[in-house]
Amino acid sequence: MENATRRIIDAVRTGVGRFVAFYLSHPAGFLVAAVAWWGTFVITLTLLFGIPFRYSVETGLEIAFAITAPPDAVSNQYHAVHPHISNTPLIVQVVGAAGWTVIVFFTFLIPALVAAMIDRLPRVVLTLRSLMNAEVWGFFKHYADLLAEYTTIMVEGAELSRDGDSSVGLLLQDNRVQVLGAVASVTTYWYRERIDLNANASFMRVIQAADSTDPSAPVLYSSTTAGAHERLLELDGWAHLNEGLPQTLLLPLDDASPRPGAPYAVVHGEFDVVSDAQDADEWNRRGETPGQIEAEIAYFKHVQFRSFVSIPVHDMTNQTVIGALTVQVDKPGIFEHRNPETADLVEMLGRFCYFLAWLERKSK
Amino acid sequence: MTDVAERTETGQPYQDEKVRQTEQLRRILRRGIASSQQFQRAVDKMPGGMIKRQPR
Repeated sequence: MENATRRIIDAVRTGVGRFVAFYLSHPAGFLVAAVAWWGTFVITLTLLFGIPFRYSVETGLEIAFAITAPPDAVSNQYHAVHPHISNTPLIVQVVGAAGWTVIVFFTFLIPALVAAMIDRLPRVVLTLRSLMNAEVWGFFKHYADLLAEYTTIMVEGAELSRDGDSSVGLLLQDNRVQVLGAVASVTTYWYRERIDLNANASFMRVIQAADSTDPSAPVLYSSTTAGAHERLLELDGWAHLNEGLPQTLLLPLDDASPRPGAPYAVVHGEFDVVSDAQDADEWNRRGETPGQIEAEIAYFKHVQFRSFVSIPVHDMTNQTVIGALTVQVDKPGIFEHRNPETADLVEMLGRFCYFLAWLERKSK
Repeated sequence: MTDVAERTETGQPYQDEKVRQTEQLRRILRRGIASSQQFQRAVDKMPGGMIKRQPR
């Protein structure tokens, strides 16, 4: 019962919030507000003067129009209803005068009310809570708490030396995995009402080929080896190391024509989407050659990701890109270019990148 | 914090300080792991979601 009540309250609050948000931001909002207020005013006056709509709709409308225009509206209506009485009773005249007072009062009041509403409503009604339900509010609290905790850790740990301790290295690595886990959880949550997704996330760091531990290591969907490239992307880890996922991975990082996904995100410093990794046309549109497309489709068939988005991870000074966070899901068409849902999710996930960058720097 | 002059002169306090810092770093990193895991547990069982069901 409590749940049902909360749902109703949520529905009303979000409904009102969205309505107000709409008409305050819409160009026609003022008109809507004015008409709404004027309509309320006319109906209130009609009811106030005891001339209900029971005569007919036409009479009601006449009264509604008349009451806003001539001073004798009330007495006119009285004579219309009682044609056999020639003089106007005092009480009707008093009511007419009172009606005028109210009209004058409202004439000044309405603009004041509208002005006050426009000034105050964004603060009163357009609070975040009014635009979201209890679940979304709950999510944001967890999200904010986690980011606050990350920030605290970054501040507290800024000056602390790790002194080459290998256990610290492992803890840093575990932290990266858990941040990726949080990223995957947010992604699954993001789309949960529409579709159940299996989401995963990975972090790849930029390395110089000279730093590669094995120059003869193969580079993904490429016939070349690590030694043939100047810079590479090296897999750090997965949120969930599921069966079939590679534990090591190298991607080519060609500044002139980066491959779609993480390389593109790193080179251009902006997020990149592959909407359906099994769609040859999409790879083709991205300028991939038939041989590359075949290798890409084979790889993604093996790892069973259909849609992914790569987000650049900048260093702490925001100057250079040190790697890419990639989020993968098992359904096609989830992430799309120029889709605000994808862009909003990327905004949310981008905040996790600061901590990833800090962990990465601390690992050096 | 150990005084810099003291560190360089004796050596031992400097080592102690490094050990203390490493231990503190370990502690806050464990806190980071716990917070991330707690977040995942909470979000994984949340109903709803940001994106409303829409006809596509």
